[in-house]
Amino acid sequence: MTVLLNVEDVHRHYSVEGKNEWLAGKSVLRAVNGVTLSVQRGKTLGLVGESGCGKSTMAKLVLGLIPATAGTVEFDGKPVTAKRNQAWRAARRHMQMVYQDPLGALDRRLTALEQVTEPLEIHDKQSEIHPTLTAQNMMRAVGLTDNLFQRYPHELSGGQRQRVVLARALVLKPSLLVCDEPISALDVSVQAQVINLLDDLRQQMNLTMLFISHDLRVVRHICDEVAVMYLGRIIEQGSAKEVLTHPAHPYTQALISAISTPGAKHALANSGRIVLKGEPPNPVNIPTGCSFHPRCSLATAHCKTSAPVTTRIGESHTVSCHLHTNIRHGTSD
Amino acid sequence: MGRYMLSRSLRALLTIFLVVGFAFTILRLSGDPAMMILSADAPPEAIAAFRKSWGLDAPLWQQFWGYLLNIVQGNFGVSMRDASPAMGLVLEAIPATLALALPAFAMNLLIGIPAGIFAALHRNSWCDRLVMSFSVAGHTLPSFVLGLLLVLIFAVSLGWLPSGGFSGFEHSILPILTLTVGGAAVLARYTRSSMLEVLGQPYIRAASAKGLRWSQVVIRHALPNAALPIITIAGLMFGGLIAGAVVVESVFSWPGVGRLTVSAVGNRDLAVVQAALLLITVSMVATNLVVDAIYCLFDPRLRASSTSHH
Amino acid sequence: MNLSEKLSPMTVATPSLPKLSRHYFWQEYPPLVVVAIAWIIGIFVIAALADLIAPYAYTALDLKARLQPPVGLGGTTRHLLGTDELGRDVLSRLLISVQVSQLIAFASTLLSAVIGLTLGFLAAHFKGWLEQVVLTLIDFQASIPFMIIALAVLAFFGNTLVLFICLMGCHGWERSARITRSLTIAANEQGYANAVHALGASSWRVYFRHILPNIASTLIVSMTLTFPEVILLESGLSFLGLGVQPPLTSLGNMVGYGREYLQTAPWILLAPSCVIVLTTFSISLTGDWLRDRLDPTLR
Repeated sequence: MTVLLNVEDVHRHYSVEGKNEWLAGKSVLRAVNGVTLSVQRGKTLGLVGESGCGKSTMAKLVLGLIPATAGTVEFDGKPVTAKRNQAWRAARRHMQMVYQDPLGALDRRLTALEQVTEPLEIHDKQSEIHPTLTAQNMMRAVGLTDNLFQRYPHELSGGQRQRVVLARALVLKPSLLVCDEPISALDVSVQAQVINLLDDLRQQMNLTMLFISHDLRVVRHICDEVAVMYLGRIIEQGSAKEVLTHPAHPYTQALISAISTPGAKHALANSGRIVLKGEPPNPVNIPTGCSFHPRCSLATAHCKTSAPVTTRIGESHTVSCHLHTNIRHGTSD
Repeated sequence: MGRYMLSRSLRALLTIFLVVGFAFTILRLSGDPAMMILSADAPPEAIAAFRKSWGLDAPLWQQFWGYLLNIVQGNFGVSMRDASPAMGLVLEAIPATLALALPAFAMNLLIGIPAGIFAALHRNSWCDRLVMSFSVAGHTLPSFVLGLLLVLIFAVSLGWLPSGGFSGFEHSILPILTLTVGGAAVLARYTRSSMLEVLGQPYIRAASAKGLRWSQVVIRHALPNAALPIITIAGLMFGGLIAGAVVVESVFSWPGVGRLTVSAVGNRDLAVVQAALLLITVSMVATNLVVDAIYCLFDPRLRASSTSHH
Repeated sequence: MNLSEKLSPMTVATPSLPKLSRHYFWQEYPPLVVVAIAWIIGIFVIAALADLIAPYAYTALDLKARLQPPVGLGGTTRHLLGTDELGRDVLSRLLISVQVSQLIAFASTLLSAVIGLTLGFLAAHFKGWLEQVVLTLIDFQASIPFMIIALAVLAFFGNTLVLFICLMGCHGWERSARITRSLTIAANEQGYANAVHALGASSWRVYFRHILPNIASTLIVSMTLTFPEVILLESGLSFLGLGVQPPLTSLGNMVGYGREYLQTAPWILLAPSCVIVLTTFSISLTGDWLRDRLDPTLR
């Protein structure tokens, strides 16, 4: 199994100006603060975390849409740059993205068919025999009926728009698909359909996916591996089954306990819903030591001063916490 | 608040500096000032002497520095027509312009704002349509056409009011009226849309759902929130009044800064043009700054953001 | 692939249905707007054909027939709108003036839109110091009344038609620039422009095939705002004797010359005044109506 995507200690910092014109001081916003992950060909990695943890920034870094402040991103063995030159544009054939807001991602002046045909026009000017036909086939493959081809984005429902975005992303048959919260903006009734569609397409086209979401239930359903992000760092990573049934980090535990599964009375009865104290974090002021310690009910003085290292606790399971052994074995303190 | 005002002041200074630089640049670009101001067939010694006294044979940056120094002292050179100091001429003309602009400004506020509020409160009724029609008419009617029309009606046909000149109160009625119509129209329009936007907000509905009388809702909730953009527009309009005065003063032969500038432009009396240009710019920039300050004082969001930055 | 079978048809926004009733026509196109558009078309036709339809040359003197009133007020059908102080036919001069004024207004509006579009794109695309420069220029232009700037330039540079058009073209560009910049930034942020970039399109393609068509309608509405303002500016300056210079004639010019004869021959300035007012009114009205139509957030 080859590694398709390899991200090595990548950082992305923004310098943020104060709110008042040119005179205020600057501070540093660390959106991504040292992330290492890899995805094997044909597998799906889920990236979860709260809003503001850096997931969307990771999506852009992986695709080379923004440059990394430090660290490397490698796709298929070759480094990914953010310089928008000819090579970068040609590389787009192999990696594509699905967006959170399908209406915003589509040009409202073009029909659905024109949107899906456009990548073919950009990339495949000579070799494509009949771009319209290819586009139409792709659109049928994502479940759009023929009568929708000539519709404009505002004439389609949310689910249909996302299918158009999907068709447009997949028409060039890329190897990597990055999904940035693809179903968050859709009605709940449509979400399941789109997720199933993604799953089917993934198998048929042997796609490698980076699936970004804040919804653990979806991640559980569709991902092989999971990485949990907090304040720009990955605090736990491993196979989806392993991490979601035996979480080793208190943050992951809190996230999982917030999922209410109908009928699973046991899960809630035993551990109870873990409520994190404090405010959601601000990536401009990252706490010292373990960045999670202000909200962690198990934090010790050690947690405040020194940052935990990533330790391997299972075959593919890693975690960044001083107290992980205690947590796993069910003891506290 | 302090930071905001500081950066606004810096911007204002930059604007003034740009205007001064602009005036200097095109003055130099537009030809040899000596030739222009003296005349083409002046004797060469006179031209040389002029050049020397104005420092025109010095390097460019030195000229600019000299120019700046002169300006700061209020020395713009002398008018071509009667050799009196240019700035002096401009300053003399200011009271006349203010005699038109200030009453017109007051009338703008007194007529435009209530009209706009009234139109907003009675949206789509015949009053609203009436106000809006007048507003569009006032906005698209050029001030010189309006002025001439008023003269035609009131001075020529009816003989009630004099058609020009400066010697009495009744002479100022028509010019002030002309200035008012355009300004009030614009103000009414902006007031109306600002009020409509505020009235459409959820908190207005919440306020009236609390049980307040509609008049209370309007006075306590709608008006203060709509006031801010209205104040901004009103402040900016004062500058527009100065510009409008240019045309109106010419129509009514009113001896203000506008008419002075127009005749100076016609005569290529560059000294006076520069003086007038700078004076008008400074007053506009100062007005904008005052508007910014008021805005800052009254908008809690701006005040809060300047302190919450840690 | 039988994925389509898994789908159940969801409720969708229906595409627009064809509208047929006459009542609906008058609702969509209010009568006043229809009249306004008709006037505008008429003005454009006159501007194009003035040379052909004017009964006399606009400089043709007829000293025997000076200050003749228009037909209906004591004049003859030889001069439908009367003559001026030099015996020139007011109607002919009016038609040519319309041509000149429209030409200036059209060229200037276009120029101002192009300047604004270019600067707006540059500011949004390159950001950094270029954006700051453009923003400062926009601020500068917006804070000084254009009339003052125009007066200064006219004083220093004198007045030829080309120069005048360029000067008028500097009016209103800051509006187009602001619109272009903010819409481009919005499109680039999370929107379709970003997505098309991510598909591998070159910047040229993104700007000209995607962003420009999308902001075109907003820009056009802004241009309908600038157009009457240029007419007013130009006629104001010409009225003051600083705009279009003789022997060329413009609407403002005619009003300026007719001023002396306000009492004796008011038709000399009334005719061009009416044309100015009706034209600017029509364009403003149409612009408002267009904006209401094209801005979906108002629906």
